[in-house]
Amino acid sequence: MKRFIAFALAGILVIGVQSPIRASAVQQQKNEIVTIQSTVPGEELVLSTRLLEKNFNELLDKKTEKQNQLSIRIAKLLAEHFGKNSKVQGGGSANYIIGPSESGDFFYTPASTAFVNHGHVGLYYSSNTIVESIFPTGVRSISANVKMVEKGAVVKSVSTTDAVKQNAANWVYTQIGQPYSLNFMNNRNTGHMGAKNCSKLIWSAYLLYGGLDLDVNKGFGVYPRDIRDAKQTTFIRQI
Amino acid sequence: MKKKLIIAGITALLVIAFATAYYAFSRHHSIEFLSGTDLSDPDLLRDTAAILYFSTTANQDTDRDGLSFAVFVDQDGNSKLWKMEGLELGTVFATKDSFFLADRSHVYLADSNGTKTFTMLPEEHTGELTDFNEKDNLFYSIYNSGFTDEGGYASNIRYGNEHGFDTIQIPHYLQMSGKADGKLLMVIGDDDHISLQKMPLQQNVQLEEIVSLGPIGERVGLASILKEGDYYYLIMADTEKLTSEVYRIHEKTKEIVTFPLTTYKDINEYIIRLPYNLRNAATIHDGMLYYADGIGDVHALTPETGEIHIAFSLQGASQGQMKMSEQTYFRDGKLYFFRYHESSDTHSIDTYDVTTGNLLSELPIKGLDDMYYYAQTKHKRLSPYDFIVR
Repeated sequence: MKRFIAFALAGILVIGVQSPIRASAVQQQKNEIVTIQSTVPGEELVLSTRLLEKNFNELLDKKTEKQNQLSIRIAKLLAEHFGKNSKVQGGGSANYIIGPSESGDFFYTPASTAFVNHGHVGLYYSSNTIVESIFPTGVRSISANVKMVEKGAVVKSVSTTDAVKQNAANWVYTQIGQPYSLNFMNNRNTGHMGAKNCSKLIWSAYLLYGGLDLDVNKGFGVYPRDIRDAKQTTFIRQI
Repeated sequence: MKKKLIIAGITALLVIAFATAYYAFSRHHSIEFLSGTDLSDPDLLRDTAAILYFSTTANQDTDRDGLSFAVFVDQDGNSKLWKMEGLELGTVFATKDSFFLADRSHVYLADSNGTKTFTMLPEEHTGELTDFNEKDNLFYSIYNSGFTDEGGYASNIRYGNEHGFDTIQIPHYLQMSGKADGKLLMVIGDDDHISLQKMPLQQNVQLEEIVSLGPIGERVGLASILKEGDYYYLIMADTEKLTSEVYRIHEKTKEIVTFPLTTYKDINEYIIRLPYNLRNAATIHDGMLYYADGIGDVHALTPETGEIHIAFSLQGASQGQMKMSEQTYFRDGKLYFFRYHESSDTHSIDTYDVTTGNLLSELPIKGLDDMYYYAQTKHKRLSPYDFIVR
């Protein structure tokens, strides 16, 4: 609850304050704009302050960025403060092993970086061996007996034939020697054989070997949650 | 003009808010970590009775903000924290008068001459095993490094001493590993054929097959490879048959004898019974093999007769899939059990006599809250990966 309040405060600082500044200031300046003859196409608007609108926006962007940084730092301080004064079950010492599943299945675990829960996915090459892409070195193999995940992690299966699952798992295991890619935003449109992140690895495997598009929303990027929520997947167990 | 005033006003407000928040929160208790100088402090080198290692998983390191901690515990249960970069499954090592630690891109060597930090490339993200070879005065740390650009696999070894560290490569994924007689023991191979191999912990990678173990099937290791006399011991589960067995392999005759260890009623029980730390899950003492599973049952095998029974159970061990950072460590006929006490929200190191199963002592650990809360403020989850008792 306290953390929620902290982030709500930070959110107000970031969104609630800055957006009106920009909107009102721009509007105010626009009210002062000298009317430009419409017969001059392409000519840029000139503000009374003699700033081009483009330059004015750049200036505001810089100010906004600075304020964002300040707000983020405040949010982190608030989070640290409330984190210090709140209790986690077991002092934060609870942990979970994902354990085995069938070849071609995958797991999803919540995972946070820079306060953002982006999630993470990995594929079972065999029942006991997981293959996953991690930053920055790329693809590694790890025993399912030692792979730790977060509360809320799930193991899911892909609804397809065993042959497709095995081929997808084999491809992930043997064909990849590529580095990690931080490009989540547009990874649907990057090559299957290049650098990959965790979700692209699984998405490419099933697209190439089963014609399955494991992206729930078909957006530009395939994120771990998109794989988890894809309609072609079925629930096996939850942590 | 109004525009400038508004921007200046809001900026001033934010600066004031930031300054106020910083002032208010900086007055709260700050967490103290060991510095490099502290690590080589003679008192720390002398008084450290146990070291615990915690880290974030590699997938929490995407923004380069993964964390790991070596926790130095003295005889009175006081702990001191050494903060490093993340290294999933990382290890810690201590000799009588030195500490050897590592994170994803450094190794740290602390002794009475000071603390030396060596930057290591390539970065590593998955630890495997650490040892010290007295004969050549070299520390060895083995890592599960991952696929190579050529499609092969690499397990890198960082080795060195106070004069510097270097990296060599084993071109295999280690299904299991262990150490004995100054040698690295490993199970490597592919689906069709796995084998037990050994390699001297030296600067040259020279693998020697001890025995073939056939197709891997659905087998997986449950503990480090052990060696006692002429015998190697492997504890492996078969997740299709839902059983586990102890393999006893004679070094010279290559004879393999298996002893049934556990039959699991389903995969959930198998997961729940996975050891707290596979590296420290088993030992051999007075001719008996002891294996601690994930619900605190300590199994004892008499290899001569094949008799297996549950010798004793660890008090307060987690019984479900949620573990409370428990760790085990065997040494000299004692089992050290790092555990959580729900009633007091604290941890302790309990010492058991493996022969009698008696609880000998309980050492409450102070100061772990700082580590957990620090990780919490960074929105990170720490997992326990190693535990040693000096």
